[in-house]
Formats: sequence, C-alpha cells, structure tokens
Amino acid sequence: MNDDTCYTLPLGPQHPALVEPEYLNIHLDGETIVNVDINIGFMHRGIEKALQQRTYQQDRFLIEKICGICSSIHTLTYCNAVEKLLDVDIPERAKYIRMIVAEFERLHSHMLWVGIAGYEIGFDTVFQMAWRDRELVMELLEDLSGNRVSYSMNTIGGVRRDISKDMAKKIRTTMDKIDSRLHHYINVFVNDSTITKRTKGTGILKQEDAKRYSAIGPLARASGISCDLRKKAPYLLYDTVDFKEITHDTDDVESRAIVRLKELLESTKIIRQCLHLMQKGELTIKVPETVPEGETISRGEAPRGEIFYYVRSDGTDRPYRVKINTPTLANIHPLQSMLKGQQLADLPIIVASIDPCFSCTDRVTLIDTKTGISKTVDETYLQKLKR
Amino acid sequence: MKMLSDIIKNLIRKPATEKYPYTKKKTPKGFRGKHEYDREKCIYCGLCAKACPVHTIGVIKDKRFWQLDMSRCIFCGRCEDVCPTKCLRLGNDFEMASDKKEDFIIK
Repeated sequence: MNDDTCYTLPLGPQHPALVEPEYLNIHLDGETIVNVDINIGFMHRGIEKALQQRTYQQDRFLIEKICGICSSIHTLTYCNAVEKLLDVDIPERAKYIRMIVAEFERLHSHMLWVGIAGYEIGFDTVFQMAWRDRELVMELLEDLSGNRVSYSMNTIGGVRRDISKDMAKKIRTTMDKIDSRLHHYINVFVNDSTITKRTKGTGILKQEDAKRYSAIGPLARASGISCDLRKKAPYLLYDTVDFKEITHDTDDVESRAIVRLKELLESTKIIRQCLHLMQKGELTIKVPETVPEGETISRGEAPRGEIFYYVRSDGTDRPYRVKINTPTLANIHPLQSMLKGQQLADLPIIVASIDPCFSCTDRVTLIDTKTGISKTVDETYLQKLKR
Repeated sequence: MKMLSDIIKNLIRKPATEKYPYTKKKTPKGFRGKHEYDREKCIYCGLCAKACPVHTIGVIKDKRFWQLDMSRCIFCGRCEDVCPTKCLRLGNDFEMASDKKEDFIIK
C-alpha cells in the first residue's frame, strides 16, 4: 500500500452506517476504495465457555440468543448434534415442524435483508414495504411459538409445540400472500431503474474469488457456486421435499438480491410440502439427561450460509466443548475483494449485501484479529491518528 | 418506478402499525409472559429451579420457600414444562416495567 497517495478512513467500531460494532480501515484514492482492512472482535461474549457450564437442555436457550435473526437454525443444528451423540431418531412430525420453522426464519431474515438493501441505497419505500410484509411471517411465528424472536421451538428429542389444523390453514393462506409479494419484489429489483442503477455492477465477487475466500450461503450462490447444504448434505427430511437450489451468475449486489428473493419462493414451496407430508404423531421422545462420551459435528443451512457445530461430550450432563462456526465469519473476508475499486458511497450497500451478522462472527477469530491489528496499527498509523 | 403503485395504494390504506398503548394487541395462544404461580398447588420439589437456564428460581423445601426473580428471567418456559403439578405457568401479561425492585420478585 502506497501511503503517500492514499487517504485512510477508519470506519467504526461505532459508526452510524454500521448497525453493529465493526472496524473497517478503508484506504481511499479520491473517492475510490483501494484497499480495506477488516478488523473483527468487538463483540466477544464468551458464549462457548458459558455453554460448558450449563446442562445440554439449558444450553439450548443460550444458543438461541447467539443471533436474534437465526435463532431457530442455531438450536436446530445443536439439537441435531446432541441427538447424534445420544443416537436417537426424533419423530417425523417433529422433523417437519423443525423444517417449517427454519424456513419461516429464512423468509423473515431475507425479507429483512430486502428492506435493509432498500434502506442502504436510500430507497426507504422498499425498506418500509418489505418490513411490513415481513410482519406476515413474524405473526405466524408468534402464533406458532408464542414469541416473535426467541421461538424456543426445538428441544433435544423433538419440538415443543404442535401445528394445529387451523394454524396450518392460516400458514397456507399467508404463504400465498407472501408469494405474490415476492413476485412483486423480484420485479422491482430486476426492473426498477432507481434500484438497478445502484446494484448492477457494484460489489463484484467473481466465482474464483468467492472460491478463494471460501464464501458461503447466498453470497456464493450469487457468484454461481452451488453450495446449498439442504441439497448437498440433506439434514432432517430435506431430501423428501422438492425444491430447486437457486444460483445466479452476475456476481453483483443485484445477483445477491435475486438469489435471496427467489430462494424465498422455494421456501414457501417447502413449507407447503411439509404441511402436506406431515402425519399425526408424537412431538418428542424422552431423552436421558446425560450424554454418552463422544464427539460429533452437525451442519445446517442458515439464511446467511452454513452453520457448523462441534459438540464433545465426556459422559456427564454438561458438554465438554461446543464449537460454533457461523456464516458471516466466512463471508466477511470476500469484502476485501468486493470493495476494491468501488466508490465510497457504495460501501454501505456492498457491506450490507453479505447480510452481515457481526455478533455471531466475533469470537472464534480472536487469533485472526490479533494478527489483523498488528498489521494495521503500526507506528505510522498511530501517528496519523494523533494528528 | 415499479414501486409507484405501492406508494399510491399506501395513500389510501390504513396504517400498518398499531397504536399501542391505545389499542392493545391480543397476545397469541401460548404466549410466554408474566408468571402465574399458584402457591396452594406447589409441592416445592425444586425441579423448576434445577431446569432454569439462568438460575433465577430459588426453592427451599423445608421452609416451603419459593421465589422467582423476573428481572433475570428469559421467559423460555422451561419451568412450566417441567412442573409436575402445573402450579406455574407463563401468562399473558407483558407490561412488566417498574421502578421498584420488589415488583420483579414473585413469591
């Protein structure tokens, strides 16, 4: 980096353009971004240690609070891992209910993203409308689980609440409503010139770059890489339902919006099929408090990408080690490639286009963060700050 | 200009938001709100205290003592799940703000 011609703009950790604390050090040549240093690690909460001090059943509620948006997929993946250790097979109806809640979560998470994308490009009407339509899903979740954010639906050995006949009918009618709205938003994001002028050609992440940086989730799928775990390594009963994996290959912010929106049409399809395939039956099976010795991994496709859990048991009622890997940790590094050569004004929408969730990201990269800081905060940098 | 039809429709549509606190929304079935505790039915077995992920319930069987600190509660409903006599359930009340600490203690 040639420091003489570059202007360095530190963005964050606290900044109005970022919702969560994150530190981007942006090297600028005029208005053009030359390079970006990403520093993470401002939201360390010590969750992995806290998990070791609670029982398996109690851990569920802490895991749920890792992320407010993807709270269900976190517990789902964790419960899958513990059930693997216990060597139990949960009832079929519970599996379908888990899938329905997971798809609801994808629906409301991506709708929230559509709103944020509109907000970041200064199109507040999209923001307001998308969030209004998101309420349809939120209300379903509230009716189903009793809560809007922490659903607490999954338990080790099944699910806690059932879907009644009236509820299933309500879900079906709401899904029709959401489908029509989604078609409208796809039309808006593809054809509206106000949006396409900001999204087409911005934040390009080429397929080879996406592979090099190990991007996952909708970000990778928008660069033409097929990586949907629901297809690649089906968990629960995803292999019994019929849906398509959405990929798009224009590599820009628009592509990411299209992938997310079209994915939702598949989600509503999955929910309808689950309701159809669901048979009457038990919701939970009884599981012992203590878990036999062993270790296992479990993976799940969260709205933002792949979630990974490693659980090790030492034969007691508390886990010996739980290791969590979340999607934003993988998706934040491609930002370096995406931001290079872009205008500074496009930074918010490009950062938002990876759908970042920093509170999930910040903890496992403590070592990375240290090396990152030693690279960025050198003497010249500090002297610059002093001036 | 694809959003124009939405914008015009919104001019005549009624607001999507609810005017809380003037109109109160009905809580859904199975809502997890303020605890309802029935002292008569309680057998002081202590299962709820054992199950609680945030350790907010205290039980002493000999002294027939049961106490819950609502300010620490995360409203997961696990105490309700494990209660053998169903003396504890999460009700529909969600307006729990108070400036007195004693108001958060349920006995």
